[in-house]
Amino acid sequence: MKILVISLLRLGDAIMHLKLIDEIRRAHSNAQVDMLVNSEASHIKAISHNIDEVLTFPRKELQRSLANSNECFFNSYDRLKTWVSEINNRNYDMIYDFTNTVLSHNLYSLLATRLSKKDSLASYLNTVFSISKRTSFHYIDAVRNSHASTLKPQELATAELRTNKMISVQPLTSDKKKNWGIGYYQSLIKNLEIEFPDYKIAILGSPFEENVLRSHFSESKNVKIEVLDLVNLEFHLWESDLLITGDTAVAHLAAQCKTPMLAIYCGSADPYKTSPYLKNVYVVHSEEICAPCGHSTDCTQPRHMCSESIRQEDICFIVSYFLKYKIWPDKQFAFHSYLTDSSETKQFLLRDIHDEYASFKNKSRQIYWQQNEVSSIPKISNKFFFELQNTIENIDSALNIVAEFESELSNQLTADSSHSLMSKISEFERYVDDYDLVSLLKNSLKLHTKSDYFQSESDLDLLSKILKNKRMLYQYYCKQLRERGFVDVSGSRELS
Amino acid sequence: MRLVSYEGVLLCSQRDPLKEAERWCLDIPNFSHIIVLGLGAGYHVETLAAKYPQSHIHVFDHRKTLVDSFNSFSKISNVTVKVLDLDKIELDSFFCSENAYKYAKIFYPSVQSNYGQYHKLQKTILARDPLVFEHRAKQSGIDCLNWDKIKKFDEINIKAIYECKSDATQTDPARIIIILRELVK
Repeated sequence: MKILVISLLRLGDAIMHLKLIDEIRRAHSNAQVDMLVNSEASHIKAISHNIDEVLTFPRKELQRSLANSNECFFNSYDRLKTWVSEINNRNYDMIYDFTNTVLSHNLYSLLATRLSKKDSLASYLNTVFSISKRTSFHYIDAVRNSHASTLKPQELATAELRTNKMISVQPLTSDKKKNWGIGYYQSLIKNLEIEFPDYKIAILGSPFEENVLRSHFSESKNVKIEVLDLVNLEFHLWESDLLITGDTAVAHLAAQCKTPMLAIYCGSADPYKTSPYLKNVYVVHSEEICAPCGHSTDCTQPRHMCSESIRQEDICFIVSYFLKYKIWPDKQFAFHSYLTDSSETKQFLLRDIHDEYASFKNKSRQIYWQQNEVSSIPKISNKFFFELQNTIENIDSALNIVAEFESELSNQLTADSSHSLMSKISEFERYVDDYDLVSLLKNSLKLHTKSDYFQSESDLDLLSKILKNKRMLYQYYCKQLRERGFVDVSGSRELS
Repeated sequence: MRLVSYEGVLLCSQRDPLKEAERWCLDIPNFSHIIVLGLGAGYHVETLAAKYPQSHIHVFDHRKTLVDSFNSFSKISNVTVKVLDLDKIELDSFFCSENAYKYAKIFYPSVQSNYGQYHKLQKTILARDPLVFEHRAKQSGIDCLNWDKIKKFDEINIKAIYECKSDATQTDPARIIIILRELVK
């Protein structure tokens, strides 16, 4: 059997697709599996044993020909037609399209096969996934689910803890907006050099990034700029204790090498869609209301707020903590921090560390209250009780705002109602000091303006559920305190 | 002795005609037939012939004196220089052949006073003229275009072709056109 896999996105996507090619190989062990890629990914065979042949789509040649004012349109037309017939002459039995673009869809239709491999979720990929909408699927899971009849998920690999004293840093990405910022990386590397003098630090880059890297980073005894090809990069990543990177091809290659990672996702990088497909990766994401934005479009903000909100000191803390204790910190920061995981159904999962941290704190407090006598709770004061009651009142006010929000959104949005909703968000922020929940409210408005009624309603529904749960929890705390003799705020009695 | 100007028009750079020729040749791909519009002093033709010795280079110029002068001293085997009657440009058998459609570049310095006519000729050769395009497209089996709509365009490019594509067609030519349009979006 001859199988062709179409992977016509960037190098990082092609590297991610290798995971699925492994699954194809598992399903068809004796088949010839070829991969169709753009020329920039033509070396991918060197890092995969499961590809028999790599075919290159003449994207650049066609683009050059179409853009040349001295060339005839029929040159490109005939060239593509000839190329398609050459591929068809190879007589593939089965073609998987992992790309899901208008281009790949049409190419897929041009390539004649006896069996076509696309399931019902393929339309989901085309209509929902390819545009900037929130999705609960990781890109790999979404592609796999669209070929669910043949591809079965395997257990997600976990990052390996290593002690080779090597830190790798990939500061640049394919899109300027996805970069955290060279200045931040410079300070981070300087700090790491001082704090971990026994570690080697490799600054990674591709040949076309070398000049930028050399102009911004200086090499020293422990810091080296490494411009490597795919094979050597893979070797290097197998040796690294930690990779600090944005949403890059290197991150996806590191996922294949099970390298522990701190992934800093800014701009168009969407951690839900394209986080490294590996368990126990720490992903940092600044959730500005405009993020994640479209790839290769201009930033709509006056400043690069995505990267500015991720403080260099915090990243330095996370890296230091990991290198010292070999676990990720559960500290709360002013940005989103996630840990990658897998669900019971072997799907990729992004766990919000803040939520886990908060629930951990609440849980441990509950256990503490249940297991100890009143007299042994020394730190709970009337101030805390007052804060609890105040929090419950604030939650009630916030719930009212959510209800008002829902009723406003059920009508047609006008300039006045939009203004009123914006002021409700500010009011909500006064009552709820929780970045996630405010983002959820903001997001429901954002989705609604994009005419996605269903999504905006489900966001509001989720928001009120979370608030109601919080209220129940705080009411429970109050009840517990009352039962233990603390009755009244005005009484100013403190538990001894 | 080469002419560097003719009837008051500079035929090539006075300072460094060889460097100018090299720069002009830089973006020309390797085709089996290359059409050059404008002979000038001929430096660019010689450079191109040396760059692609396997290609056939067809040069056209409206000034007989220049053509005769070049032919008298040039012995390059892969170059053919012909006189072009600008007042009577016709689609002769050469311009209608498939080879002619591939690549045609104007050497601006030598044709500056007649640029409009040369540009029109280039448009015809490259099938950018709507009528020529229609003729050539039908030859290639492209049957998914609205021909009335395409005639309204001044010059045909991939954007215009895509706009004239019939929405309902799911034919191979239509798919190829969609792919090509996607590549330059």
